[in-house]
Amino acid sequence: MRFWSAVWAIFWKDVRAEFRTKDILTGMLVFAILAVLVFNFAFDLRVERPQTVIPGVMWVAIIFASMLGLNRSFILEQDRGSLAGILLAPVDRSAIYLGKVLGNLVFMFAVEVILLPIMVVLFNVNVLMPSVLLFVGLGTVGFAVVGTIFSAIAVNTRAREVMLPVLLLPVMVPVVIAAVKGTAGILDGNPLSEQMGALRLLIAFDVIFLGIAFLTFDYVLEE
Amino acid sequence: MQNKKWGWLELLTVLAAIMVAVNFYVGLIYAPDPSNLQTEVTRKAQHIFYYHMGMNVMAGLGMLVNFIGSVLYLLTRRRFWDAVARSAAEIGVLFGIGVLVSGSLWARPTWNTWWTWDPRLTTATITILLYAAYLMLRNAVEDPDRQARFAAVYGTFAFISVPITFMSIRLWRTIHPTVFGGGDPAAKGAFALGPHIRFAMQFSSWTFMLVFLLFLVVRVRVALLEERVMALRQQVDAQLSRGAEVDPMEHAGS
Amino acid sequence: MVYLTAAMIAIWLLTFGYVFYLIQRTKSLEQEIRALETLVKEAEKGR
Repeated sequence: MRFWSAVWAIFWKDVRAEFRTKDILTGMLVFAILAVLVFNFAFDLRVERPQTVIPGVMWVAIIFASMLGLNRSFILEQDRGSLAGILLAPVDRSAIYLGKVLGNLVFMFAVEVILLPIMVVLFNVNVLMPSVLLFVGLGTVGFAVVGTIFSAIAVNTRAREVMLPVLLLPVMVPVVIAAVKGTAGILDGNPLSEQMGALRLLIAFDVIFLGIAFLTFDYVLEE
Repeated sequence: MQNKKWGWLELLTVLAAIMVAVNFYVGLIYAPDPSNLQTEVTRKAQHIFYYHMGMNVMAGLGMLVNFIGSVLYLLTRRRFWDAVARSAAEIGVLFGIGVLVSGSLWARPTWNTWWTWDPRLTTATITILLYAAYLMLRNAVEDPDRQARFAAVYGTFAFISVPITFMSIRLWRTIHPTVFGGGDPAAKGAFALGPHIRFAMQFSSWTFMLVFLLFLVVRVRVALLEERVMALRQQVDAQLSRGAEVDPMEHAGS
Repeated sequence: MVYLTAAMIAIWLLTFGYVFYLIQRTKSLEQEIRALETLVKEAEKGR
């Protein structure tokens, strides 16, 4: 009980602080849309079958936008000096971790809720199918789970913001592959039952890394 | 330091040197050109494989030992295990690059290109970048205790992500030949395994395992020397600052 | 043959390059340790 109220407290603190200024959220959203537009200039996206390029464009936009959000999640705490305060609280370190993960998840989902309809309009392809949303959801969870703990590591390095993508992207390759492949398969008109390999991989990734993050987060925030 | 004795490190060095020398013979002369490959060039280039695999063994062991060192550091908090993890990652990255270079030099005559966007090549590269990121992380943290903790956590994540990455590439097809089990008909450049080739492969693996062990031991020794230098520097700093506190008193007395 | 030779050169340059790097590093570290140790001893004596 105590554990979950601590999780909730951390989560709610982050969400309330963010909705007061909306700095990160608007930044992430504008960045995601810009990424899609820049993609259009970089590769001509007027292809015959937009289904073939949409999964890639969508995931790159989501990945880079979430990177922005994940970076801020601990940098803000450090700049305000509030991390020390949280660490002094008599709660489990894993509760802090879980609260942070949930906060980051909410921000990422909020961006996706606006980004995906925009993609439908821009490419005239329905990405709002439940099975696509399943892949988006699982992939996002993977990014939040690993990204939150790496963000806590990255803020304590000399390079700070630069460190997070370098650490995060190579670990996230399976999620990127499985999510893009799964999304592409479904947009291609295949049923979800044919994407079970990708789906299973995403679920396994999320569960395994959530477990490891729980085990190791204590070591990251130990001082 | 100590007076030089014929210790087991020297023994290991000599043994590794002999194995490497014999391995030259085994890989280049003893092993026959595989008869099923079409051209002379590809038959000769196939000999690269014995070293390609050797580098692969070293890179793989580097990553495995890094994981073991990382986990043991988190559990025991002994600096020794951190030194092991750090050394193993360095060897892993270096010989991972060796895998790519030797593979590339083999692919040029066999596949007619230095590089293709094949899943196996891509994941191998990602894995090396993973450990390059590990070394970058270490470089970016000054405090030795914090550096060790962060690196150990990242090393754990990195190692566990490797098999998942390799599973994720099954969602693609590969043209990279598989030597052990399961021949994909699309694979290009695969060679038939005769008893001589099999022996040469095994010998090469053992050789590079021994080389890895030697490098690891020597690198860990270097890492421990580094720790000692750091400790001595701190001691000197402490003495200097104590001296600075004492100085004005002495001046006042005289 | 060209590729095989190139590969052999590359591989053994890498390997022996690393060996020399390790030897160099060991030497310079041992030197530094000696220097620091004498420094510590002198400071101890000076007290």
